[in-house]
Amino acid sequence: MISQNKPDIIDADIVVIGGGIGGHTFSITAKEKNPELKIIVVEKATAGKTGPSALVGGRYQGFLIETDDFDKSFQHAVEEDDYLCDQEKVEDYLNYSGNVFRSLERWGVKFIKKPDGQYDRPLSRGYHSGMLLDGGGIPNMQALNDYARKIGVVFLDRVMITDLITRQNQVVGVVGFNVRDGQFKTLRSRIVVLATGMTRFKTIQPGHRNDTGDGYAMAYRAGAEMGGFDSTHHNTYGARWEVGPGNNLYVGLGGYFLNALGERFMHKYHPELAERAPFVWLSPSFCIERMERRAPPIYLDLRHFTPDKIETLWQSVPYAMTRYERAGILKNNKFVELIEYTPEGPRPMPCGVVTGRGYESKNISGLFAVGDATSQKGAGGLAAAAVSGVIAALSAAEKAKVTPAPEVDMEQASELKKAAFSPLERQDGVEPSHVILAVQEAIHPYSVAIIRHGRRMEKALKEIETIRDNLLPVMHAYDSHYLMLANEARNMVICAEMFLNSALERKESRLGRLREDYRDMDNVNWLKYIFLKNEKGRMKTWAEDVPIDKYKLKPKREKVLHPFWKIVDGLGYKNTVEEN
Amino acid sequence: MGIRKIDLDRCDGCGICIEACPMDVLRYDTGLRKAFIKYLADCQACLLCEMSCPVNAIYVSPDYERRIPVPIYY
Ligand SMILES: Cc1cc2nc3c(=O)[nH]c(=O)nc-3n(C[C@H](O)[C@H](O)[C@H](O)COP(=O)(O)OP(=O)(O)OC[C@H]3O[C@@H](n4cnc5c(N)ncnc54)[C@H](O)[C@@H]3O)c2cc1C
Ligand code: SF4
Ligand code: SF4
Repeated sequence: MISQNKPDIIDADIVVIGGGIGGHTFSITAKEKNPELKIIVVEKATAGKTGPSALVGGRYQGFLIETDDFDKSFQHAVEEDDYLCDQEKVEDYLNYSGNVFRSLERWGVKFIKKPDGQYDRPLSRGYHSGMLLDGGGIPNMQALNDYARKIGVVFLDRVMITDLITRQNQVVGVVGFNVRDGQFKTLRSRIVVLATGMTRFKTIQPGHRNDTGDGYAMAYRAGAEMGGFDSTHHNTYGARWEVGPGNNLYVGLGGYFLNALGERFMHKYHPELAERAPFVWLSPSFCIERMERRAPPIYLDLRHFTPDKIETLWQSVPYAMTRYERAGILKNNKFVELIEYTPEGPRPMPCGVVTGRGYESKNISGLFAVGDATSQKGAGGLAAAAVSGVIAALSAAEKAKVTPAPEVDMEQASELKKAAFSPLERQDGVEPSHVILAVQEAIHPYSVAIIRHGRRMEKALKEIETIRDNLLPVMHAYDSHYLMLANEARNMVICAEMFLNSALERKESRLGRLREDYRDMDNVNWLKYIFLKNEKGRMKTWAEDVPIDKYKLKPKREKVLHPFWKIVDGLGYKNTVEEN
Repeated sequence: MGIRKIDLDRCDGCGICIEACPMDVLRYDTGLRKAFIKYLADCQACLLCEMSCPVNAIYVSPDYERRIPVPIYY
């Protein structure tokens, strides 16, 4: 046991892993609350410049308590997750959201305003209207980063954290390496915050490929209780070009989808919202069109957009518009081509470390998880990440003051290093990109994650286990960049396992979890969360009741055909995945 | 996928693009004193490098080069 300072150990009060919006709102709030704290944000790319928060579609789903309808927003948030959310956190989210919004403005974030001085909040996906980031994510994340640096938050860029160091169910630090020079790093800290975002398994669409579920995997390896991996969201994106983001804006401004026959179809699946249906409704609708042999292709049609709409898009998603121009889809400021569209690969969500109301892990003391790294946060996207960062910081800053200086077991650190560095030690072997492709091939088919069946998920799980047992042990990294990819691949394999094991556990249908073999939504037996944990190297999953009795909104306790399947049946569609 | 070229006549080696790239695609050549494309396969066509280059030396194209299996085609 080594407790004295060694030159290769960096000491901090709080280490934040991930420099997206959650990492920033956390560290700014904690630093403002307690300026004495030494807070280090570690980021594998460049904090405030890169990652999903910087490359977003520009919509900020903020809620303003002075003007917006609390009860309606509460109800929509609960219904969008088919009653499986943590209603206390939804309430906290709505209560804090307005203050966090004002704080963001104070920290330099700019939102688009109309000539009358009101925030521009165009219609968006679902029942929400979002504020718009002026200039998109990049200048605004940069502003947050400038502010954080100004008040003394320290940033360590190009360092990938690979594992948490724990001691008797308490987190005491992290290990990682510099992706440019391969230097190993040990950070010792009273508090560790996972702000590592999500994983989309490096699917299509620019912006999210830094997020490979590292936070999920390292928390899992450290024994944290994890939850929510049974649900997957699938945004829709360009199938032929690296175009987007901006989905919510396109449909909010009146864009629509056409199938291979040139027909609009979304109004059949969601008569009220049509194209503006939530992704958990939109992507299965695309899949049914495919099963009925009217897709692919599916197209997004923006050709009717008037100059004012084009102007809004340039203001809010300028990079996406540049890509449309380069692809020849936008010419002389007019959309001239249809954009071939597809659901992306699975993104487990809302999932991550199981946390309480202060966003601290339920079973590992001192470990906090915010933004997309936590299993429940009251809503999704930028706003929820920002709010959860603030709420977590309020309790973490207090806890840091009373937590004694941690001791790090250097033997544990060196074991963790060995595991992370093994691909570099090997002389030859499988490239990480091959492993990543194999994972994608196992779980990206629509018939695995979007339209589910036990048999298909079991088959996919076997493929993932084969990758785990046969490919991971022989993965080879030529240098420190490939070492990053190798560790990402290792983490994605764990995430794929977490998704499939959890999805198999749930024997019913719900949004984000539609099964052909269990088509009922079962509020009698399955009003449950799916949790999982690493138990001596084995992934243990279990279901636990949603504490619905203490919640405000309760669904009818009945077992009924899921509303999505009811619509599909009503349309007379009979094809199943098996028949294709 | 993505980055097509760095115009070496224009590049003055300021390194801004190298810091901007989220995917660590770009590195610095100490001999040439310019940026170069090292890990092309990892480029995600996000445009951050091009937009941050002060001398317009970079061009990024939005076409896919790597096969990524996607749902309704699979
Ligand atoms: C293309 C795209 C468009 C989107 N558009 C919108 C939108 O318009 N509106 C909206 O509300 N939401 C949008 N979202 C979702 C939104 O971006 C996320 O929900 C939000 O940014 C999450 O913030 P976060 O702080 O949790 O994490 P992220 O912003 O994901 O940041 C996580 C950071 O952690 C770093 N990291 C990960 N692993 C490690 C590691 N091992 N070591 C060190 N660093 C690590 C990553 O590099 C990354 O910078 C979009 C997402 C994408 C990908
Ligand atoms: S930003 Fe432009 S000038 Fe600077 S190193 Fe990159 S390519 Fe060269
Ligand atoms: S387009 Fe994006 S990912 Fe590609 S090299 Fe430029 S900054 Fe890097």
